[in-house]
Amino acid sequence: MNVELIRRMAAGDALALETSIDEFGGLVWSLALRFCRNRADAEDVVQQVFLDLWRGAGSYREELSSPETFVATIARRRLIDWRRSRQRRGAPVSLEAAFDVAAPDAEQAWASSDEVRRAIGLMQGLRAEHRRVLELSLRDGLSYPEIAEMLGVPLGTVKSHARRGMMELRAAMVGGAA
Amino acid sequence: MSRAHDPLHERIDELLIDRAVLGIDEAAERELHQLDPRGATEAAHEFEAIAATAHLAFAAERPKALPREMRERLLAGIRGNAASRATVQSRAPAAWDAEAAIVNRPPIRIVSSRADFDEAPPTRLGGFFATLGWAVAAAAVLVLAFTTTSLNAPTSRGGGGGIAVAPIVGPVEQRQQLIDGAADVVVTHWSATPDSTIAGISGDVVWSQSRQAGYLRIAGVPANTPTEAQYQLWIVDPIRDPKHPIDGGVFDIAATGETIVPIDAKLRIDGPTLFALTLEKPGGVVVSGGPLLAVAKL
Repeated sequence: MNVELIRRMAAGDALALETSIDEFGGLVWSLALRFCRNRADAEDVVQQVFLDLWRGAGSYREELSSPETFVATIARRRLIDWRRSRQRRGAPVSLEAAFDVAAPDAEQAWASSDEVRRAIGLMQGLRAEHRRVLELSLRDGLSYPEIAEMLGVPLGTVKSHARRGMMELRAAMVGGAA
Repeated sequence: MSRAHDPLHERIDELLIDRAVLGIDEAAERELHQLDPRGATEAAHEFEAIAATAHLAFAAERPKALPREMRERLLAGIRGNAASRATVQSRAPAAWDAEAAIVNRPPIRIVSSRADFDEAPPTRLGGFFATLGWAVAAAAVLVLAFTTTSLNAPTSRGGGGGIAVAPIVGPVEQRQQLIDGAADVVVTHWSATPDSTIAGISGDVVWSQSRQAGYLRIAGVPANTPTEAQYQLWIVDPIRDPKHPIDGGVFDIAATGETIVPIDAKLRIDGPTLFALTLEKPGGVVVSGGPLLAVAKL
């Protein structure tokens, strides 16, 4: 049980940290590789995420989020830090990373968890243009100006889509009480 | 007035959303602090969780497994420096007392904000990770990866020949001699990339680290016109430089059927993880500009 796994880490059980690599490694790698588009940088991020997980396990609150969301939140913080620390445009994209991003691996347990299924259901409820902007920003790490250029729409429109998409998700997650 | 229709809170939400999606710059952080000196912690965490939830959904569209070699590197870091009691008992004495590391681990704090999280004092494990020579660990693990790959590919190993005088042989025989004679030969098979124009590719790559030699065996790839374009092999070697694959030579496919090509690496290969095939201008290029057609992963 992943909740128990995080509790064990919070208690200082290093074996639980090892187990977490098997439980969450694919998830973190999936987030990082797509975002960084560079295998070496993605590896660095993964390493930092598990260190952060070890450090921050005690902050986990079962009633507030699933373990998957908790891990993804930690990973996103690291990815945003990574993005901030470098000029993303023009960053090298390795052949290996390009292939890795394009090709899914065999079925991964984390991808069929209840939390992930719930997340997919939420995203399916978004308006297409909101979803597209969130996809490019959250998943691919593109800035709003980059997305505006890619989609050929004004910057303000991109910002609006991102914000409205997030508000739509919030409304959906609390049962429509935005 | 509800929060949704309050311009102040709308602006705070905008900033919090932007921060959760991609981070915000210092000016926006200052604006956020001025608008809400208390930090809007609850809403900040809420938007962070929403962003994480959406990211989960996107990642699940093309789920990846943690590469084995990376898993081993991570585990090696943990086991070598902050191993569990059980692990320590089954291993030779570590460089420092792993059990003491756990005892001395700083108490876990309740993290109430991003700043708290980031300012958490480093653990000894953290210190290890921070100072770990990534390449050193990678080298050690890749040795293991090669060993494992060899053991998992028994069909690639012949019984050994006992050739007294080496005759002049072609690529087919040279490839077989490498397989039979090198103890560290690894074999990996070609896969077309999702958007490849050579979906029917088959064959393999054999490589010997000790001999710095290997061969491609390729079938199902259309013939090229050498004056217009040539196939080029690339070797990804993360130990050397993961961002710049090594040129493995150019070659032509003259006819249908099987083609065997010796690998012509322009640099020493220390730890290949992937061979990639592209189509480039005649003579090949220094930095690939052609489409990625196929890969063979180790």
